[in-house]
Amino acid sequence: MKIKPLPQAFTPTVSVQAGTEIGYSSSWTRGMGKNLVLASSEEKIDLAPGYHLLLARNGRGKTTFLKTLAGCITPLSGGVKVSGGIQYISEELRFDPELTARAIFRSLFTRQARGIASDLSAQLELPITTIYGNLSKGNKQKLAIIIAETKASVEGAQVILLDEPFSGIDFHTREKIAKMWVDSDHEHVRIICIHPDEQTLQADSALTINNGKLEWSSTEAGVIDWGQLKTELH
Amino acid sequence: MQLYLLSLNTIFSKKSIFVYAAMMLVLPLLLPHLTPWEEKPSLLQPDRAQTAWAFLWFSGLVWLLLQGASLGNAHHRNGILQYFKTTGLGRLKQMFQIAAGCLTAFAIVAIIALSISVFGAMPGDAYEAKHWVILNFQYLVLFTLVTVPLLLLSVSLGTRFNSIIAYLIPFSIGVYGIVGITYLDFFLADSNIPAVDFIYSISPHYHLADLTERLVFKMGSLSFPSFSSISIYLIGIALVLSSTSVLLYRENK
Repeated sequence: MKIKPLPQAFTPTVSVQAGTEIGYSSSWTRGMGKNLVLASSEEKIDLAPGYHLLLARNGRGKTTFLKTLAGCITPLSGGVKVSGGIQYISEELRFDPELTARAIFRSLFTRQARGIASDLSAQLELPITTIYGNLSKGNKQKLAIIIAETKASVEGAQVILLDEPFSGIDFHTREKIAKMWVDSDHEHVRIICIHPDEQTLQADSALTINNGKLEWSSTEAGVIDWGQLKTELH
Repeated sequence: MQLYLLSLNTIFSKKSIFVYAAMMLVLPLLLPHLTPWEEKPSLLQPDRAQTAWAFLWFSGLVWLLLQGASLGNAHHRNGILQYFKTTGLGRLKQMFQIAAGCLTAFAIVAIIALSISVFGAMPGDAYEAKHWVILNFQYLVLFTLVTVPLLLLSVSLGTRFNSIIAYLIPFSIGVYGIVGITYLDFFLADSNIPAVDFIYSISPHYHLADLTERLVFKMGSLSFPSFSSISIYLIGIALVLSSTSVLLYRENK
């Protein structure tokens, strides 16, 4: 399962300056003058096109980091630079319960893109004629992923930020999607926030938030030893 | 266009617009016959136009504003606005696309109302008929100048508050401007309270857009100076409401 992107000369990148702090700025309703810093990066982080995992425990700032990259939140200090089209797919992204996946595709995509979305739906076993309200949680997540991938496939050079895309998706489909990302042409920067069950993970690099520090490490031969890494996360 | 189409498809999936369209087809034909029209059959046609326009006002203030409020609220709550923001669709475009989706569906009801009023109640006399057509189009322009800014406000408030609040505020402004202000006018006639006078002067005088009386009594179209001065006044209110809507609009969850 490979997505054929349109030819693009542009290379999307993500860059996080050294000293960047992410979190929420206080307002007069909260905390009186203190920022809520969730994580900071001591070193500059540059992400090239590829499949990057964002790993951390709950409440450590994964979603905040993705929202900061997406431009929804301003970093408290330092800065982030994202080149390329951005898509932030929140875990909470939902559609009207009366709409079918087909109607959603019809709203969002051109005829050509709808073909790609339908192919992906068939491969991931998403029933496109079922109304959204009757889809299982996993199928709703599949729909969100298909929307992101179709748009990326048509527009090219995207930075795709996916927050917990696998929640509710069965193991078989998860493997399929992960393989699609690993095998893809590395035209897009994909940052995927997940809570994996597996002992080893395939990805080009891993971003971790540990003890309030945002760190980046590339992987050896594209494999992350999650069994070991998760014992180190606090 | 994506948010516009998503909003439009969402509205059509609910199907309530078709109920309003059916009512718009039936009520202007049915209701005038429930009156003692036999005493003066010539009143039947103006009654038809009156019912069509009265129901259009009702649909505009009830269905249209409710759609705007609920779509603004649902799109915000579901994270759709945030998604589109990250793809580069700014707040102004988002707000107008949602409103355009509502207006496209509402156009079905408006076109039926206009058709009934123009073709189903047109006077036989050629001169009167010409004025009748012009007056109907003037009415539609003024109606649009009242309802579109209220719709933008309902969409915008929907992104910030729950849909009931987002609906009731523009609905109240609309009803006050069309009906309530005439009561204030009546009250002002017997009193000389500066505060009430001030409230009256800053109130939205939407009743100026209600040309039903002119239709019913066949008073002819508005003169160009009258029509343009009412339009400019309503555009002024529209700018205030639209600017407020832009400021209140919120994409992020």
